[in-house]
Amino acid sequence: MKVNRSNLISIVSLIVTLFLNTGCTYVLNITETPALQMGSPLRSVEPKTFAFRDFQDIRGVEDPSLMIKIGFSTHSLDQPPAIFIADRIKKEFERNGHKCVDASSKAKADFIVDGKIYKMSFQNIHGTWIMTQIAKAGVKLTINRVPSESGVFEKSYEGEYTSKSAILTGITEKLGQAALSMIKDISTDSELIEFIKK
Amino acid sequence: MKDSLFTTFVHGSARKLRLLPKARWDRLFCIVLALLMLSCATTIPKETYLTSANLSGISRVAIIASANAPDVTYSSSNMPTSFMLFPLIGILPAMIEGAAKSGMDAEHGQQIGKRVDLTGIEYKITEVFAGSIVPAGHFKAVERIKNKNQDEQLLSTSGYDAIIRLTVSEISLDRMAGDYVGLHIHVQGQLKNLRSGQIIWDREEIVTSPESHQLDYYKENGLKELNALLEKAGKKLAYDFVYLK
Repeated sequence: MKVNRSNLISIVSLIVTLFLNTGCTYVLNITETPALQMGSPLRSVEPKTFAFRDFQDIRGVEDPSLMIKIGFSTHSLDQPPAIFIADRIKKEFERNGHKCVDASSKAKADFIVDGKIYKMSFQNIHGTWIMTQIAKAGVKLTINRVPSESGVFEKSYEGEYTSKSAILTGITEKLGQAALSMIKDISTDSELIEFIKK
Repeated sequence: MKDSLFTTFVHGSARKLRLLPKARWDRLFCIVLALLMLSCATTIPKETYLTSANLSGISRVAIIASANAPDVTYSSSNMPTSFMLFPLIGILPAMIEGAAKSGMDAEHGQQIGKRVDLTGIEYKITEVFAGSIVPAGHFKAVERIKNKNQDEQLLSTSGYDAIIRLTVSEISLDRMAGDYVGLHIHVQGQLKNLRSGQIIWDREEIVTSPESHQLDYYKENGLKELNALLEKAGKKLAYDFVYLK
């Protein structure tokens, strides 16, 4: 079978492109996704100080930042979820007039916040024509009043963002939306507000 | 090799279809495919947040709510979700069963979707939203307008300064895992200054039921679940007014 020169170049280009695209590591700049801007009942509480302990990632995965593997390419967050989510929660408290400190700093605080990341994922489900992309985030918060015998609040919060498209785009934005949705749930949770107000 | 596999496929299909000449069909197919891919790509909506400065001069506000018929498309496991929404609208259980057995096509589902009591949904979202923003005291009067197609110019001449549109754009049941499905709604809120014509608030809330259940659960509790989600979404949107900086 005769193969002309232009077709040969096309085939070689295609193979090279596929090879380059499938063997890459993509960094998802999750830290650059927008923070919440909506009104929050957290604003109605008089300013408190929250001391944050380091959040734990309890998903039991080898690489917590890895979100999805497509072929030989990997898409990883620029910051591990345990750090990114804790940071977003701190920002949300601060946006609403509260103060956040590091628990290790021994600074005087009204509450000590612990967090366990149990969900942070991105799925791409192939349909006949359209792909469904599901981004998920989940954190279990434990908030201890200081002194600790004065009460503890424990609750899990989840966020999800689902979209459909023919091409796989915007992984970072979709993960950001899932995280945002989870933070929104924390920020508007009447049970949490009641606990902080007490 | 004269043609690539792609053009051979396209030309072959075109000839079979006897539609267009070879060259034009080739281009047309590419354009249609590109447009399809672009149209299918989801873009994350850009929201406009409220500021107290934007609310100055607005005292009388009209609220118009509208709801789109429930999503009657198929879920990922090729099971129509339409029939699951029957209980939400109070149709007899017998009809639910009947629809579940016979309604395995989208067309049938669409007919059913049209029967949903959208007025009740619109009333609920307005009640929750207005019930939250009125005590915040930003406006002297907040009134519900039932006519969804009310002319904005007429509203302006009637003394309204702004219009808030609440749109329940999506109500659907999504398959979560196995037989378990979760209810989810998508609500949009928009505030337009009728004097300037400017949209000063544009936000969306997607709320999903905290737990997924089997279909039977929704036959009994569908309306309760839907109301809970409408309440949650309405309150979240109203927080922008209640806790305005």
